[in-house]
Amino acid sequence: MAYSAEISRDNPSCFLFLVDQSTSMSEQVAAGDATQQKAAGVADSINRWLQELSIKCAKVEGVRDYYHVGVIGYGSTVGPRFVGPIAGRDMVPISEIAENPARLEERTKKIPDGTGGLVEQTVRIPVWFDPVANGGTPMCRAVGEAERILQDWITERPNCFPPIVIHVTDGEATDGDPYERIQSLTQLATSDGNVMLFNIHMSANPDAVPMSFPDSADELPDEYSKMLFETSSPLTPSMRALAKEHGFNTSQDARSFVLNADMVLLVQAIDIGTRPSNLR
Amino acid sequence: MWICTQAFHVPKHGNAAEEYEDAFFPDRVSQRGLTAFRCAVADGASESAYAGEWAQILVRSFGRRRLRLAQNQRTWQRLVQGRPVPWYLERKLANGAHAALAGLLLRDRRQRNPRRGSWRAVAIGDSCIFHVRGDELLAVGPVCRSDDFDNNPYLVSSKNSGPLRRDDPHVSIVSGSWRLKDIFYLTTDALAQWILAEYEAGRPPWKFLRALGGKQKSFEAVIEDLRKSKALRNDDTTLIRVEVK
Repeated sequence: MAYSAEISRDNPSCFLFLVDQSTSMSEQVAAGDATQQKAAGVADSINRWLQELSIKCAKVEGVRDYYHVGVIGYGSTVGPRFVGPIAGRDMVPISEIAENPARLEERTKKIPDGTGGLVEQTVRIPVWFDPVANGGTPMCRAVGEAERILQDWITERPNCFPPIVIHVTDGEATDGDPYERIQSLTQLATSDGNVMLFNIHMSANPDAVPMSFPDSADELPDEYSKMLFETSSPLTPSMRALAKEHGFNTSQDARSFVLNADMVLLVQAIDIGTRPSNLR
Repeated sequence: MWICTQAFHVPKHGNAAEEYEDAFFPDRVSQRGLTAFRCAVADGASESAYAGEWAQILVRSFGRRRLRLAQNQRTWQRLVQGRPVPWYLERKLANGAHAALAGLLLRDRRQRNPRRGSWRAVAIGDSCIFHVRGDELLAVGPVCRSDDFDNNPYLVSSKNSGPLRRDDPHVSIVSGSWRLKDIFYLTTDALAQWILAEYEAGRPPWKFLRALGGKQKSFEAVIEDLRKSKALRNDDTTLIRVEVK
């Protein structure tokens, strides 16, 4: 059965983020009751996600390398986007990520004091990835880069749980039609299944209707969103179960695609795409 | 009451022996003249830190007297506090450790009837207890079907929970009576799931479990074979066999 390989230190898996950093990512998007710059919201989400994954994989003796993670940005240039000691590397074991944040930012948060009130607590937030919004949308080159990185990964680990690519974008490619490139990326496979692609499309337009995990392209508004749907992987049964936890009823043919996402839907989609169910 | 017990344990494949996070109590007993006997297995959750230690605290507490959750939580807290830790462990420890627990208490009623007594099982999570007479399964719980195991059982936390109450819906309490030659098995989830699957398929494994005798090496070999054939999930695996002689 596909997508059932055990994820262990002997047989790790990986996540690769492909992040649109074009100029339009500087637009404001809804984030709960407030708004936030898309690029800043994406950076916050990825930093928080890296923090949670580090904690999940942590044991007393250190962080166990169940996963390697990469973040590729595309805008004025295409390439790896970690900052700090791991800058310039495209795929990094989670233990090295945990040990090497660029900085720990101190923030205060309010927590219950146990008597019905709230008390302020200082927490240290690690940062590995900074927001950038500058340039065009060279999606074709970025997908080509992802294919190169994952081809190398799979050659070394042919039996791993398949890599999962989380692609966050807000606009159309400016360097050609990415359809063939994306098809080529998701045709990469391990013995446990094909590389999975999550397409998360963000919109700053408050009138744009969000769509979550559709099972057909019939109601999608244009050729671009249809292309993103066609290239998104089918949700696995465990991802559908997670989607249900988040309140999404999905059909068996649901794709890992959200359209016109705000910050809340972005975070939900990343969780559904990446929460491990077979860590050992 | 004459009780003979034997515990068996194997870490998950790919992990070192010191990474084993189940716990059991006691290891081995052959004692006559008991009026009460307690034993327990626990399964520390892999996603928490100091989970094996938490599981140990719980089985010893249950096995020696009874579960005293607030005291057990303080013991765990003393164990983990007071040392500088990296940021990721700081958050992890704040979340506490978690474990499933299954404990069994046997009482003698010999004064009234020399061949019978009572038992009571307490379980939180998906570690299980089986009560077997000859080739017949008399009771099993808290999980009763192999399909009912999932990745998110309710677990005992080392943090932020009040005392365990009998009417807590997450606490299973079952009781019954034993006769001489009855056998109880306490197991953590992976083996419990396999036992139930075999039983449901009409292949109850009681003879096989009895035939293990006291040989830890035989148990390790059997578990390795079951894992290779994918019949058993790769997880820390623990079994206590309790015989009433």
